[in-house]
Amino acid sequence: MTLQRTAAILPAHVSPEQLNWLLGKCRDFRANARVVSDGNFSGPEPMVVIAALPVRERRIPKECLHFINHHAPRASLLLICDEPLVRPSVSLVEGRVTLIAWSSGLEAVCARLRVLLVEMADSDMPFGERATAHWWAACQIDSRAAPVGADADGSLRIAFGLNGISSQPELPPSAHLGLSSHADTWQIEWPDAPGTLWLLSALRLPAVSDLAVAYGGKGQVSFRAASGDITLAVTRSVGRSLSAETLKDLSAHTNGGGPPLFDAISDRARGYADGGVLVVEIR
Amino acid sequence: MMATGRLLMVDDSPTVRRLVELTFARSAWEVDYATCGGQAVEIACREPPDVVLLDFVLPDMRGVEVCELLAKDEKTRHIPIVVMSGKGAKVAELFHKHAAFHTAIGKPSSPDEIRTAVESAFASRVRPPETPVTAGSFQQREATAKIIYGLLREPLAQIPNWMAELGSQAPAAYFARKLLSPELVGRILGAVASHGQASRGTVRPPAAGEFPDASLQGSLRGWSVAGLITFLEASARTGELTLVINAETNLLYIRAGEVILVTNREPSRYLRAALPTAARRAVVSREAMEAAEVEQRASGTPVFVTMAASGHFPLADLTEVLRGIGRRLLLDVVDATDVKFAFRDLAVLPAYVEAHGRHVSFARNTQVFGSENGQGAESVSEQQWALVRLRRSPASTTPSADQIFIRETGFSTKIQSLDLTTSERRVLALLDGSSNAGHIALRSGLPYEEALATLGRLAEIQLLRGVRTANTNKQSSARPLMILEPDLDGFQAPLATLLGSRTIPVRLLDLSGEADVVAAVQREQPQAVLLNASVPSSLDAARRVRASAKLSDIVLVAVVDPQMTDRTSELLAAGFDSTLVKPIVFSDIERLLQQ
Repeated sequence: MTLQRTAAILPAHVSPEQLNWLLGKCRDFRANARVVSDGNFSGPEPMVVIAALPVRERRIPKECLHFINHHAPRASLLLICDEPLVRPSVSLVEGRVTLIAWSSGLEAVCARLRVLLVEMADSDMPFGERATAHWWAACQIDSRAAPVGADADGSLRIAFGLNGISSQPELPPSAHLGLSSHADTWQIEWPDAPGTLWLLSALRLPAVSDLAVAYGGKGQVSFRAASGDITLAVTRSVGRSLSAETLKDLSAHTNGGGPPLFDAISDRARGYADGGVLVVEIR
Repeated sequence: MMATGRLLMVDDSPTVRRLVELTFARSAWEVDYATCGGQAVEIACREPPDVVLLDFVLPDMRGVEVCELLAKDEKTRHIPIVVMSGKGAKVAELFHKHAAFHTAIGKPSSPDEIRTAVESAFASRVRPPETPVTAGSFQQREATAKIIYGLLREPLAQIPNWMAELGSQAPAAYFARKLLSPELVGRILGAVASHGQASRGTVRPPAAGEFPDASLQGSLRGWSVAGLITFLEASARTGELTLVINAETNLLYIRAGEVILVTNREPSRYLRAALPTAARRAVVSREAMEAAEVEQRASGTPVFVTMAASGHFPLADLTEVLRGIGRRLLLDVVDATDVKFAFRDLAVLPAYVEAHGRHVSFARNTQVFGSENGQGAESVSEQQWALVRLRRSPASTTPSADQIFIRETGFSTKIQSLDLTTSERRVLALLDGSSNAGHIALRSGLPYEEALATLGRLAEIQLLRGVRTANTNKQSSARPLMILEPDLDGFQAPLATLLGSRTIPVRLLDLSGEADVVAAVQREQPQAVLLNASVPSSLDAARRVRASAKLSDIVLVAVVDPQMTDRTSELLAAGFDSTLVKPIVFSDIERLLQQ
């Protein structure tokens, strides 16, 4: 049974301003959000539960666990804390719990909410996006959302046309981006087309790398994937307008991970007749 | 005298173009504008300007590509280029291969900074030589020989050790193989090529009394040496400044705008100096002393440097002795106004300068601050005097590494009346309100303690304010991590931040400024050393660290580019414990530290 797009917000440790902001964001994502009052909740089972973590608390609050057990056994939990985290966000328990800090920025909180709603939406793809417990992906070709398919085991392998839709898939040479089922290995096969495939992560050094320069034209290459990795594939036309510098600036402004980066680059891609963007983020 | 030339300003931002327009509005400069790289190249080819002021990122191409296109055309390849970038001088290394690149300035920059950079570029214009230079002048050849010697000196010193290993092998081939390693040959070729390029770019037909290799020369009339040094600081140049005052020649070595060693050609200034006990007791033969004096009169190499090289002077004292004497020499000349000067850009400073050069401050005696006895105090603000006093003696309290600093009220007004040193400016540029003093010190590129002391000094004159002490329980005695990695912005700085954010913070120490990597590793006893395998000296450094029994527990990690993974076995053979391929996952470094 597919869950309805519903979110439940536990108001403890959430200020009125934060609560209003969360309700507004849920509306933006076309999710019916309800505030849980004294542990009571009626209506359809929520797909996402949003709760706040008190300062210095390191465990999921009891009332939160109680609510999930009784009212939302299949839901994902978005836990927002009021202390800075070393990593922008942390995904735990096979993606069921996502921990993020308010200090990461509203855009980052919003992006995590979006990822959870996309994951729980199953085959319903209002954003042209797809998410599993391990990754989130979105694709846009020629200004239109393009479907992102996943294998039954949760692995991902996408053929990407570097010259836009007219050449998709482009053979030869092929441009393929893949991710193993548990999102622990990137698999790429990419032509020698600098600027068309990037890896971004605040937890990698350097934070922005041109994978097409490193691995382009070398056949199929695999390397370790890590939580927080974002790969960005773009068509040649869009690639020509990107550089490591611009991506660094862009990722600094869009520290919410894959979704805001995808929004920013797909906006840019709309300016090109054959503009195309694919973003895959490991949660 | 105010320069009058044609400036081509290349930037797609109307705001920046307007700023430049206002900057030169009342000058005799004629300014043309281009909004993209293609347009800039077209204008420059049609009507070559005297200077190009170039944005780092343009809508159609990057600033580097514009440089490449201008370099291809005979009419435009000589035009000096000033680059504007949000990263300021840090982008300079991207442009160094372009002979026409003059300097990089921040974005935004003040009108004064823009004007200074443009006029300095204008002054340094290179015209095609009237007579072709083939093998270079005697001075050029001599300078090149010195560079090669500097690079060879260390391996040459290994010859006695190699002789013990020679066995029955043919000596010539054996020594050649040992001495001329591919890394060393690469360094020699790189240094000679860049030096040759710099020299060719600045050759002018020599006239009587001129310095033929100088890129900047002239006489100071009514302008002090302090002013000249401040100008060179602003341009972040590296090279040798020769000052001729009353027939005495002083040499100032400057690295990235900072005076790091001062010497002159008069040995007696050194021999009269108050020396540490060990140095005074040094036994020096008459021949060795005379040879050292001859060397100093010829090249300015201090007598003690030559004596130390031949084992006649205690090496341990050398840095401080040179710094002390250099400082006195600098203070003697800093206010002089009747001076003939010449500045020569150098790709590589003399080896002894690299080894013993430390920041030499002249701030106490500049005209801005008045002289030591207080003359001229009426034109000096209280704030300036406070800064002078603090520079004379260390700040009374050095802040702890976890202290956070913010700008004090009225910062913008106060700073306008202060003539800050490069170090102080560098530290101030890193203030972001959240980084603690330790993080700032690590990212500053300055010696750690010096950066902390600088922060303390700026707080004592109330330019900064310590707001809170965060995570005092995080003070760590963990051994540091050391790194040799040329990518400062993309790798080293974020790594320092990540290491500082750990529950138990770990300091990251930069090895790039160390003349002797092994000595630095011995001194700091780090947990691990990360060496970028593409840096030519990394393999040699790894071999030397591995050869030291005292350093056997230190983990050596090679950082390699994805294209270099086929060198893994070579790196492991050189003594590395493991390799990490870029882009490195930070958790791999965490694992390293947990080991």
